[in-house]
Amino acid sequence: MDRIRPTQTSALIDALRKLSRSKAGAADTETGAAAGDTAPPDLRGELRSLAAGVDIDSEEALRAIQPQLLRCILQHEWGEDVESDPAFAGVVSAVNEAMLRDPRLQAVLREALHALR
Amino acid sequence: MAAMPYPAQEHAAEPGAELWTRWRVAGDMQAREALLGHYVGWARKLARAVFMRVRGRSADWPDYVQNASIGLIEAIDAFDHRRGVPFEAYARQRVRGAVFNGLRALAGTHEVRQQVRADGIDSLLEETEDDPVERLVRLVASLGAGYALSVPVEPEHSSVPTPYDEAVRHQLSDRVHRHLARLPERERLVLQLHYLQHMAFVEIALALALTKGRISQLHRQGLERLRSLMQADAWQFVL
Repeated sequence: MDRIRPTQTSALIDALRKLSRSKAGAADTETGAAAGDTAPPDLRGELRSLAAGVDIDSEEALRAIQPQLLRCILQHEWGEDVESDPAFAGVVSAVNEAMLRDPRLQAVLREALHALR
Repeated sequence: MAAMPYPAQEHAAEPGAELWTRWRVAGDMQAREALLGHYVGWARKLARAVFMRVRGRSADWPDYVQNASIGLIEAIDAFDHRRGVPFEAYARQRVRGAVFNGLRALAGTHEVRQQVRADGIDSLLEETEDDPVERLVRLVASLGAGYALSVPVEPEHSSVPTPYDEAVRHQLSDRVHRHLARLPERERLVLQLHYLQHMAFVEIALALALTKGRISQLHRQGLERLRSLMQADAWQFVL
């Protein structure tokens, strides 16, 4: 059975998205818009921006930023259109609650935020 | 998130006597799994009918489907196809009976639900990943896919939804269920039994005659595969 390597998969998605955005950027240039200005950063960059300035050792700060991080990850995974689906908010909320309930998941979040610094 | 009834998928024609013979006469576990996979949606439909009839609380829905699954497994194990009675006619009362019996034991099921939730998380945490960011992303994506499988699709309405409302509301749920149908049979069955029938890993292990560790592995693999299918969808929107 094929083993799915998420690291490779995420990197591939980022590469494909960058490719598509560079195509979109080129199209914008043709129509007079500034190329590259509107291209959003990759997932890691987006997470880094969201986590900037957050006190990782503060449970309250983590609790506050967590839903935004989860939303960002799931949108990146499932496509930005998912935001328009009312069920999406329920899924984000369910994952958020699961993460708040389990200290092991909080530790995973904390380690990821440290790595992003 | 309280899981609510998901409309049972229409199942294909009745499995032939060959499948029953393989299970009942030769003890072929793969045939038993195929039978379970075939009838699991039907059992869910029966659970839903009881749920609607007794006006159950949405928080108790997992117990209804869990008990229906137990009734189904018992019926598959006890059914003798050589008597010429169709399986659904034979099993209907057993499955419904299991759901009603379960209603009497609803008190004290909070711990059971916690166990079901913990099984999924324990399984995902077993996976090793050196990159902490990638570990978080994979964990969130897998948890999200699991919850999306049991997304409520029948919220209470005060007004009749428009076709647009219906289309938008079912988008995510439809997507994830469509991809679920594409998974290898065992992975699909484990995810169905865990996320749609709310069965703990130990119960699934007993039902499929596998170890709990193997169920955990199939659960992880299934979610990973589901994740990559969901990502492929996202690419379609981008490219």
